[in-house]
Amino acid sequence: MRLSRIATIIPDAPAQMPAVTLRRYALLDRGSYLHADDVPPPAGALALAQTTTDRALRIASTRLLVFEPGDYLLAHHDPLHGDHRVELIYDLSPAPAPSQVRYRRGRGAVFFVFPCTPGAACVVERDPTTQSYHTYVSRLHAGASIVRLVIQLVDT
Amino acid sequence: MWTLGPAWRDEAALARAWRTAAPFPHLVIDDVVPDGPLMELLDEEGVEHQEGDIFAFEASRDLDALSTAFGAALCGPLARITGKPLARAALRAYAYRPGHYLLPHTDHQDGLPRLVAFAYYLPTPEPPTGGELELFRVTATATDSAALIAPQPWRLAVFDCSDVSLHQVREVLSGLRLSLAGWFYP
Repeated sequence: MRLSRIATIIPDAPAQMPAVTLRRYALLDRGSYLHADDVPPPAGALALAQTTTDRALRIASTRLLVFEPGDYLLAHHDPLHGDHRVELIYDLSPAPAPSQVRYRRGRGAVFFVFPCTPGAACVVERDPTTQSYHTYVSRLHAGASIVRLVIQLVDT
Repeated sequence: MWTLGPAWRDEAALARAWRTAAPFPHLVIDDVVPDGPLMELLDEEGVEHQEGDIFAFEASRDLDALSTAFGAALCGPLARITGKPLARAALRAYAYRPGHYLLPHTDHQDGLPRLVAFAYYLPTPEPPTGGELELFRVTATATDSAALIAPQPWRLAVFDCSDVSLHQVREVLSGLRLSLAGWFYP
C-alpha cells in the first residue's frame, strides 16, 4: 500500500481571511463548527502545494472552517479518498489557541499533527485510509477562534 | 455491595417512566447508595489519561469484581423495568477533570450486544461544574439537546443503547467528576 509521503508544516505561509458568509454545521455526532464552501484560494496556494509535493495538481475544493469554544470536527466526518489527494491547510486564526488538526490512518495512531499556528500552513499527501480530525476547543478558552482554510488538491 | 432502596419498589412506574422518556428511553434514580466500602475499593484502582477525537478523560481498567457485584444487584430489576434480557454488567471508573469531555456519540456497535448503558455518579472532593450527561433528539437535519442529567453523587442514569441514542458528557469546567460507567449485556 502506498502511504502518505509528505506531511509537513510550512511555518511562513500568510494568507488573507476571505470575505465569506459562515453557516453553522450542527450534526453533533460528526462536528460542530462554522463553515463556508468554495471560498477563493489564496494566491500561491496551488504553487505551494505543487512545490511541496513535486506533483502537478489542481484545486478540487476549498472550505473555510471556524472553530469556537465547544467546537470540533470528528474523524468519521472526514471522508476517505482513493485518489491520493493533497490537503493544504492555511491557519488564519487571529491568535494561537489550543487546537490541532490530527491525521491518522484508519483507527490507527496519529501520524501528523498541525497545531494552531497563525500564519502557518500544512501540506499532507493523503492515502486511501487517511482521516483527519480537528480537536475539541475547550470552553475554558473563552474567546478562542480557530480559522482554517482547507484546500483539497488532486492530480491534473 | 448494593441494597436497592424505596425508589425501586414501584417497578411498574419506573417501567412507564423508561418507556415514555424523551428523547429515548432512560431513567434517573437517586440515592443508589452502596452498603459496602465502594470508595475505599476504588481508591486502590488507578486511572490513566485517555484521549481520542471524541473524548479526553481518565479511566481505569475493566473492574471485573465490581462489574459482577453491580450486575448482581441491578440486572434483575432493570430487566423487568426495561423489558430487556439483562444478565451482566461491565464497567470502568472514570475521572473527568477540567477540560475533559466525551463528545456526542451512540454506544451502539454492530456485533457488541450492549443493551443498556449506565453512568453511576460518585461523591467527589470537588463537585464539578459541567460534566452533565446530555441526551439528544436526532432528526435527519439536526441534533437537538433534549435532556440534561447532572452528575450528583449516588445517582444512577441508565439509557437505551441504540443507533439513535445520541449522548455526550459535557466538558467539565472545574472540579472533579467521578463515575462508574459501562453497559448491561444479555
